[in-house]
Amino acid sequence: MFHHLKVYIMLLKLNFSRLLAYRSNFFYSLLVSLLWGGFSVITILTLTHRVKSFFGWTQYELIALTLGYNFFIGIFHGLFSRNFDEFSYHVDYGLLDSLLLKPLDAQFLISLQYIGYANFIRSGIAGVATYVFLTNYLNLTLTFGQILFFLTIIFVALIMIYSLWLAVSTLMIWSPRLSNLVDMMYSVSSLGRFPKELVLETPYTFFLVFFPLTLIISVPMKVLLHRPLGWDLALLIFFTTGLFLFSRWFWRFALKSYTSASG
Amino acid sequence: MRLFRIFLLHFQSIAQHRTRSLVWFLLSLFNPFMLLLFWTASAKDNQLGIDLTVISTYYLLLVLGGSTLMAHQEEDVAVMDIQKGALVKYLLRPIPYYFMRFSEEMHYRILQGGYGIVAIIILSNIFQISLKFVSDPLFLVLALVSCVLAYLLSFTYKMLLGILAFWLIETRAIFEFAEVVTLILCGFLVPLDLLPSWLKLVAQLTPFPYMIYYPLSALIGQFSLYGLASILAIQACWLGVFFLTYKLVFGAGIKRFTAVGQ
Repeated sequence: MFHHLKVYIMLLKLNFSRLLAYRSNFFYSLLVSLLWGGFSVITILTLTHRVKSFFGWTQYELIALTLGYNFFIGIFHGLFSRNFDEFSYHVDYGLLDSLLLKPLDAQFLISLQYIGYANFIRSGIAGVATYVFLTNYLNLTLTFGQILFFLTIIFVALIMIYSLWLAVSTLMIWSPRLSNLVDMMYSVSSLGRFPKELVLETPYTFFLVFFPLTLIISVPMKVLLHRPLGWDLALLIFFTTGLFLFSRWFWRFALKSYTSASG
Repeated sequence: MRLFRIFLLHFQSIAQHRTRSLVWFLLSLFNPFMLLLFWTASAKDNQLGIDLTVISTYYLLLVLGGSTLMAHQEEDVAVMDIQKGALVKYLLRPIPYYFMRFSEEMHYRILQGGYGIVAIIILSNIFQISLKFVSDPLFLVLALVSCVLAYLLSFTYKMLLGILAFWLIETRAIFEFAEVVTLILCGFLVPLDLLPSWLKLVAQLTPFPYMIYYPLSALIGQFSLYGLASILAIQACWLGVFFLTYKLVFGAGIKRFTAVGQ
């Protein structure tokens, strides 16, 4: 574990060096990241233009949820997304071989080696915006304990969404050309901007399969919004544990089918 | 005959990647359904003053429209053709680049359109979504003409975006920006009628709603004959403007093209 931590710190440094070497790339990534952050805010403003409340969530609370989502997804994209973007390339060109031969866990390397620093800036901006919005527009008082609890739940939610992305990306071991599965995950994850009622209150029961995603930001934001958590936190932990164990098993199972570049 | 054989060859190539194409289709299916979920759930909790049948039909048609009417060749044009030099092979052929690209892109739209039709039939039956379509044959024909013009419009717009790579090295940010603008103003997010009034006005002054919103609304039967004729005329005007601009920009850009190493 300590060895992995040392390697990760080294990876952070290497990625920072890469950022300094390709500064314009960093700038464009930042621009794109902020653009999509802005788009999600425009989306919720457009939707709440007509819908003033959504199953107990007021217009302002829905906006706060979107801001919180941007904070969360910024961290996720910063830590993981780039790695999943490269997943298909690693499998298709047989580069996974070199990761499997290293004296470290291959899942650790393939899912953590790239860090998108630009996304942390989006996350930082969204974090400040969330705080300002909650304290100024919703007149809420936030204690240090609440913020700490919020960050702890965010950590749990990050593990859940990481597991989900890993499980889907693992499918590329069988079909490396399906790199657009990752593009799909960007869209699917955006369901997290909405409260769970989005899937619970519609007549289309099929969409219940996306229920866990609606917990990733609504549960931590409930802490900041002083709303009761009910069973939601327990459900989030349950789904996180289940998905994490499944994705780990699925990854190991898929590796048995990996046939390198000639496959 | 020769053009038809080229058409079939392209289709063979697309059919090889049908699973990948299916994933792209699923991607275009997800967003309309997420928004449909929002509106149907909201309607239970609010007095929205909107016709849910129209909204449901619109979002279901958006699944089809998003996959057939919206072209996506800009990245291939910019990266593969201009930056990596594949444009050379098109320039050496006796058919203009615009038409070759049109033929290649159309196959993806046909395949995804097939997925779209199947999806609409399955989803509307499984989820018992009642659909509302234009019933008058004349209106239907005009709505289909509007769909054809919409596709030509989006295709030419994406060609214009792609050939910006003659001047730009980094096109990703521009493409993403264009994508965001398209999502909002075309009607992918919400039908134009549900936009705030100032944004609706802005959208109407641009060509974007004529690529998705107006053709789909025409299929639902939202317009009078005069309204439909106006939409067709405006689409034709925008298409003319885009095509002329494309010819000018491509003519200027090709002088800068250096094949590999652009």
